[in-house]
Parts: sequence; structure tokens; C-alpha cells
Amino acid sequence: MDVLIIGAGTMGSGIAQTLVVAGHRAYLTDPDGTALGRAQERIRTNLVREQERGRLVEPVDSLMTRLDTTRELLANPVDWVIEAAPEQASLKQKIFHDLDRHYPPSVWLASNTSSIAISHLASQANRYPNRLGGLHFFNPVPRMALVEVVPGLDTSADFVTAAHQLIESLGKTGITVPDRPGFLVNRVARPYYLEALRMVDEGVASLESVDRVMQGAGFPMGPFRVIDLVGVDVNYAVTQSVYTETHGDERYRPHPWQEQLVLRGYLGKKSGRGFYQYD
Amino acid sequence: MTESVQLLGADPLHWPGWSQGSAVAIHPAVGMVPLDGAQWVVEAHMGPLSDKRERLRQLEGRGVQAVLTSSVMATLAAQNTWIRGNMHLVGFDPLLMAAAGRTQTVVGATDDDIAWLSSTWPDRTFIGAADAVGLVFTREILPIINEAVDFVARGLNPKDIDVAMKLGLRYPKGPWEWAETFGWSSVYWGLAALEDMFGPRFRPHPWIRQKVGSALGD
Repeated sequence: MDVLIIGAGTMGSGIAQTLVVAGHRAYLTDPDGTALGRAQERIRTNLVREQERGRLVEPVDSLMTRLDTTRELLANPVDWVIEAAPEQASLKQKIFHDLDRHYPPSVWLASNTSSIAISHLASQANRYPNRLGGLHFFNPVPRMALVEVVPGLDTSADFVTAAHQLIESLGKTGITVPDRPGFLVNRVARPYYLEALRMVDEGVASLESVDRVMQGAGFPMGPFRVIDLVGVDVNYAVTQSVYTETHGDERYRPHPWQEQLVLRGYLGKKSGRGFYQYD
Repeated sequence: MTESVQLLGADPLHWPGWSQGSAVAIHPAVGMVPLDGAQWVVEAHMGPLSDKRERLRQLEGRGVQAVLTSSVMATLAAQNTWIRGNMHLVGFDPLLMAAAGRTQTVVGATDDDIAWLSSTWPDRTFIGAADAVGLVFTREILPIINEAVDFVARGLNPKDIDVAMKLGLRYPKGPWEWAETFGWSSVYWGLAALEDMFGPRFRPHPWIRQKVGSALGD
């Protein structure tokens, strides 16, 4: 299949890498040419590493022939468009408005949004809103086996079927989830982060102790380590989005401590400091 | 050296978590039983606090010196007001024990208590936490289950939810698997206690209330 991916960031390049490894042709687009170059390099580096570990048979150069980059929407129809732009509703709405105008109804349109309602995005894609839905990949895409399939109010059953077929072709597991704020995984996981923040703030235990307890119970990382890894700002934005979209449900109220870190620029591992200090 | 531990009030679903890796014999019982010379008694009940209060008083009346008592539904401070002060109480998290967590949280433990706990469960480390309802693990895991239940009530398959949480975030168990490890009764009573202490964000989902048959006035 031919798949256009919009956005050459971590998620977009991860999706593109996964597609080419599975034998599909991926077209990666981004308005920022340097981001496209970086994404190509990142994908090649990852593929080389995978090959060194014996996880790939096909030569990297051969795999890379199935990856193209472009600054503009392709003139010819593709099978799928997967949007992986920054998590801003207005930006994504504009993208889907343009895609809806540009491509015929045979092209499936999907958003990799982690928390914005699909029906909200579809509201600006009025021509064929039934061919639009959510395909929520998890980071790092090549490693994580789950994809949430999110039908919006107008999404057709055929979209869901086609989405599961695409996901299966990638060797991943698709779960259909409702178009609720945070979808399934991010919604169910909110207390893991929020209660941790609250209990440390209340002096129940130190953040190191909370992490240690949860890791000792089998979680791969404690909540503060996870937040630092994914980004204090990214995690905060998801919580903020769920809180806003649930019209202020107390369960999801963002914590001021996390907000302070975001405002100060302590964004986690990527900035050298989050809840923990990194070298 | 303690040769046996009498485990009272724990849901039978929790028993394997207590025995796993323990260096001494664990004798579980649902109700009050002769203590058979056990130097330490564990009171691990998650249910109506009136039951727990009664049991602690009975244990004190029998001359038990020390009790490891579940303190996720009532603080240790509260439990100390229930007894006459002739019995040493150490708080712990029964769901974390049921999960066989490698790092356990305890409240009010002396160095000697920690030494005893460490020798009894040598594969676990015991660290202190403040005396708060839910402690750490119970307060983390129960609202996750509560969230998952809301999706089940809306028609999602519990197995799909478990798969999603394990594949999406690498959780060791899905919320449904955790709930069935603990038992729905423990899930309900734990959430009810958290709601009582911290407010409605912990309110047990109506599906759970139906599941355990809770009714107004319970």
C-alpha cells in the first residue's frame, strides 16, 4: 500500500519506518525541509541498528527505496494518509480540511492524535467525514505493538475494517476504542500519573519511593520516570486535553507541580531535568 | 525468630501473594481462629471497618503483642484509637502484598519490625510511608481499575482493555487482571475508603457497586 504520513517528528518517522519494514511505500511530508532530512537519517540509523541486531533481513538500502519525502501533498491518490502533526487541534483541523478537499473518497484519512476527539477533527472535513478516523500509534512506534483504532461520529465501518487490515499488515494489534477524551490507554492511565503527583505533593512518599513501589510491582517504570521519558510537557498536555474535553472532570485535573516544571522548562530527560536530574 | 505467621481476614485470592517467597509458614484463615503460637498476626481485611475494629479488639483481648494491619482503608492512627494501646500495630498495603511487590510500604514500623519483615519475606524490601489511606500502590492501582470499568460498562471487552494496557504501556497486568487478582470486593472497599478520604474522584463505578451488591447504607 501507499501511505502518506504528515509530520516528520518522532511519531511520523516511526510510522514511516514501520510501514517500509512491512513492505509498504511511505511518503513522509513536512513543511520543514530540515525535519524531513533528520527523519530520513533517523530512520536509516534505526534500520541499520535493527539489521545489526538481526531483526531485519532486507538490506537497508532496499528498504529505503520505499521511503520518499515530499514538501507537498502528493498529486496522485494514496491508499492511506496518516497525520502525525503536533498535537494542536486547529492545526490538525486545517490539515484534514485540506486533505478532504485534495483526495477522493477512496483515500482513508487517519489521525495519530493521542487525545483530540476524532469528531472534532472531522468537523472540518465535511466532504467525506466517513473516511476519517483515528489510528493512535504508541511511542516508539517500531517497538510498540498496539494501535488504537478510533471511529468518530461519522466514521464508517469500512474505515475500521481497513484500519485493522493495515495494522495487521504491520504485525501490530489493533483495538477499536471509543472517541472519548484520551481514548482508552491514555484515559485509563491518567491516575497512574496524577495520583503519584498528588501523593508526593501531600507527603505520602517521596517520588523515588513511589517509582520504586510501582516498579517493584512489575511496572516497567514508575510514574515519574515515565513522565520524564515521554516529556513532562507532553504528559501534561495529554492530561490538560482530557481535563478540558471532559469539561473539568476532577479526576483529570492537572497538577500545579507538573505545570511549574513545564513553565520552567524542566521537560524531562530530553531537557536534562524533569522530576529527576539527568547528566 | 518467628516460625509462623497467622494471616487473618485476607481475601483467599490474596493468599498466594503472601506465601510467595516467604521464609516462614503462612497460615491463612478467613475468620478468627486459634492463633497456634504464631508470634505475629496479620490483619489483612478489606471490608467494613466495623469488622476490622472488632477483630483488632479481639486480638488485643487475647494478648497478641503485635499486629501487621492493613492500613489502606483506615489510617494506623485511627486504628490505634480502636484499641487500648496494649498491642503494637504496623500498617501495610494488602494489595501490594497480594501483588507480591518487591518494594512494600509500611507505616509505624520500628527497625526491629523491618528486620522481622525482611527476614520473613527476604525477596521484598520494606520502606516507610506516611500514614495515609491507600498508601502508594492501592491509591495508584484502584483508580486505574475504576477507569477501565467505565469502558467495560460502555461495551468494551475486558480482555481488549488488558491487551491494550499491556501492549500500549507495558503494564505487567491489565486492569481487569489486577481486579481479579485482588477480588472485586477488595476493589470496591478500597475505592470506597479512598473516596471517603479524598473525595468523589475515587467513587466506585456503578458497575463495581452492582458487582459486589453494595447498597445504600452499607
